Amino acid sequence: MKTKTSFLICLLLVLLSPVLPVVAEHQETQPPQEDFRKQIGTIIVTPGNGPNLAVADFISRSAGLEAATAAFNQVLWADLEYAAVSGLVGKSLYPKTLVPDPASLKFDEWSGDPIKADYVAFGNLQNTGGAASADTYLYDVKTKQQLIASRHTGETRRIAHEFADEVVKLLTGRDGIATSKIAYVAGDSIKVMDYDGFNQRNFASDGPMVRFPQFSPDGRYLAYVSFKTGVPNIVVRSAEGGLIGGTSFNATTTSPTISSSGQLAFSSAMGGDGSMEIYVSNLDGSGARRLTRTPHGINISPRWNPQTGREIAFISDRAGTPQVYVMDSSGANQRALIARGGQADSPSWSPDGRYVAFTYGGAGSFQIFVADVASGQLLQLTSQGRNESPTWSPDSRHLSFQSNRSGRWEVWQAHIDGSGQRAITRGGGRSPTWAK
Amino acid sequence: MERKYSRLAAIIFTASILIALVGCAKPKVQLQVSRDRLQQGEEVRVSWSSKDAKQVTLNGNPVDKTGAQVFTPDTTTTYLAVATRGNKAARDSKVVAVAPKPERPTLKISADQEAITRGQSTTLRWSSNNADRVTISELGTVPSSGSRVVSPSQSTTYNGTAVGPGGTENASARVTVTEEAPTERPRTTNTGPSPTMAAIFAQNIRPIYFELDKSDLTAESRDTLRRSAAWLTQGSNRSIMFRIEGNCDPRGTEEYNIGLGERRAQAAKEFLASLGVDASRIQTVSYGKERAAGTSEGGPTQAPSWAHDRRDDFIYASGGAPRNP
Repeated sequence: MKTKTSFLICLLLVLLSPVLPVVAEHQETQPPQEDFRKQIGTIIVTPGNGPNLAVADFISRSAGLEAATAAFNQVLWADLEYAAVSGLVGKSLYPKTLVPDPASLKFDEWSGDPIKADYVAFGNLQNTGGAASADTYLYDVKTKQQLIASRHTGETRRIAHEFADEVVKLLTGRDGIATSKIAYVAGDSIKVMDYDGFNQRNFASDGPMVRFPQFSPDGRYLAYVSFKTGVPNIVVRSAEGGLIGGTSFNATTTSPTISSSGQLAFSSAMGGDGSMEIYVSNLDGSGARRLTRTPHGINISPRWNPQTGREIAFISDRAGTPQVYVMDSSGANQRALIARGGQADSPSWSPDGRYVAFTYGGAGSFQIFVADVASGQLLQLTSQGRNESPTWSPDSRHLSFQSNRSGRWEVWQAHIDGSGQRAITRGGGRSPTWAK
Repeated sequence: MERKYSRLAAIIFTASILIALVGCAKPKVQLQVSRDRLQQGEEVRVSWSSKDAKQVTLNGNPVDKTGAQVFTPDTTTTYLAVATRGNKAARDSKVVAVAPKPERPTLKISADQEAITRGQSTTLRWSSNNADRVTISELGTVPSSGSRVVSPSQSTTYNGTAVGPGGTENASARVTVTEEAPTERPRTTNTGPSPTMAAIFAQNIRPIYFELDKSDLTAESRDTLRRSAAWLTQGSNRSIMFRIEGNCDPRGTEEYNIGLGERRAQAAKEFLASLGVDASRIQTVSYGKERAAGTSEGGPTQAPSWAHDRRDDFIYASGGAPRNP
C-alpha cells in the first residue's frame, strides 16, 4: 500500500510538472540614432516583422546517427536564428507528429493556430555509404508548395550550414552567411574558422609575428603583414595557403587590402618623405604606384570598396588627428568621409558598398561605428569594453570585430543594428576578416 | 478493520483509474543544458523533466523522472534523455561542445655566453609556445620568440614570464659579469657583427621618448640625438649600420599605431641625417603597440609605463670597429 501511495504521488507530480521555460535570448540595445537606425532596423528581421519560419527537428533514420542528428538540429536552428531573415516559431508549439519527409507533413497543423507558420523546414538524416546525408525540405504551408527538396552529404555542421544558406537564399534571394569563414590573428599566427567560431584551423605563422589579415572580397586570397625579415611587409596567399607573392621593401609596409579585381593596396614608409603613404600594386606586390603625398603624415588602413572596386577608404592625419578619408583608386579626389575630431582607424566597407564601419574614439576608449556613405549618418554599434577592427559579413547584414569586454581580446559578432552581440572565439583573437 | 480495507480499496481504485487514464498517453521528456559550449574541466548542468514516463534514462543510465546532474565532459558530448512507457518512447537531446583545455605555455631562455666581462655583450635568446604575452625583466614585453643583444653592467638574471590561456610559465637565464676577461682573447679581425661593437653602440646610442600621440622630437630627445650623431660620425663609427625601432603606448588603435611608430622612427632618422649621419645607414621599423607593456603614465625611465612605451630603440646591425679611433 505504501509503495502504491508513493507511486501515486510520483505520478501526480510528473503530471503536474511544468514545462521548462524557454530561455529568452539576451540582446544588447543601444540608444536610438533615429533615421539611420530606422533604415537599418528593417535589415534585421525580428519576430512579427517578417515571414514565420518553423524548423521541425530532423529525424534520424539510421542507427547511430542520433547524436549527429541532434547536432544538425542545433546548428540549423542557430544558423537560421542568427541569419535573422524570418521570425522563427518556437519549437514548443510544434505538432507532436514527426515530419521526416513530405508525406508526413500536414499543412493545416503548421499554417493554423498556434504556429501560423508561412514556411516549414524539415527532413531526415541517414547513413549513405559511410557518410551522413540529410534529406532537406522547405515547404510553403500556406500555398502547399514544395520550395526545396535537396540532399546534403558530409560533415554534420557543414551540411546544416549548407541547408541554412539554401533556406536563406530561397526566402531572401541573397546568399546566406552560414558557410562563410573568418580569418583572425591568434597570438602570433593567423587562423581561419567557420563564421560561428567552430572548426578553427591554422592558416599561417610566417616569422615571429603576423598581423592585419584581409580576405579578398571573393574569399579566394588572404593578404597579411609578416615581420619575418625584421621589417614588416605584405604576404599574399591563396585561401588554400599557397604563396602568391608580397612586398619586400626596406621600410615599414602594412595594412593590405585586396580589390574585387585582384589588385593590392597597402601603406608603406618606402617613399622617403618621412611619411606613411598609400600604394596600389598587382596582387603579387609588383608594380607599386603611390597614391597619397603628405610629407610627415600618416596615411594607413586602406580598404577597397568591394562593390565598385574604384574607391579606397583610408585613414589620414593630414588635418590633425586620424580621420576616415576616401579617394578614387587612381588617387584622385581625396576627401574626408568622416571628420568629427577624435581618432578613427580601420575602416571597413560593407560588401554592398552602402556602409563604412570603423574604429572611433580617443584616450584609450574606442568603439565600432557604422556610417551610411550616402548620408554620412552614424550609428554606434558597441558600448561595452574597448572595440576595434570591424569587418563585414558577405551579406552586409552583420559585423565581426575585436573586443576586450571579457577581459582579453576576442573576436565578437553583432547584427548591423547592434543586436545579437556574441563572442565567437574563446582562446583570444584579434583583427577578424570575414569572407564567403 | 472493515473501514481500513474499504479505504485501501478506494485508493487502489483511484490509482487504477489514473493509471488507466494516463496509461495511453505518450511519454514526454525535455532536456536542458546550462551551457552548450565549454572548455575541458568546466562543468555543465544537465536537467530534464518528463511527463507520463515509466522510466527515464540519461545516456542509457536510469535516472529520476525529473532531475539534474552536473557533468565535466572531456569531449563534445550529446546528452540524450529517453522517456519510456511500455513500447512508447520520447527523446530529447542537447549537444555540449567541449573545446580542449588550452595548453600550458612553455618558455625557454638562454644566453649565448653565460659569463662575459664588463663591456662585452651576449645574445639573449628565448622561445615560447601557447603564450599571448611574454615579458622579460630588463626588456619588457617581447615577441613570443626572438633574441636581443644585451650588455649588462653587472651580473643579471633575466626572468621571463609567458602568459597564455593555459596559464603562466616562468624561465630565467643568468649572465655573470666579471671585471677581467676570463681568458686572453685572441685578436682576430672577424667578419660579421661583433658582440662587443653592439655593446659599445648600445652604451653610446640611447633611446629617445615621445609625448602622447606625437612624433615630434622633444628638446631632450634632440639633445640625446645630437650626442648620438657626434659619436656616429667619428672615425670608424661611420661604417656602422643600424636600425631605429619606433614604438607606441597601448592606448592608440591597432593599425594607426604602426604608422605612428614609423613616424617616430622617421623623425629620429631625419634629425640624425641633418646632423651628418648618412640616411642610407639607417633602417626604420615600426612595432606599433606590439611591445607596449605599460598600464599607467609613469616616466621614461620607469618600465613598464606608457611614457617608457613611447620610444625609439636604436639597434646595432653591422660595421664599426671595437677600438675607437
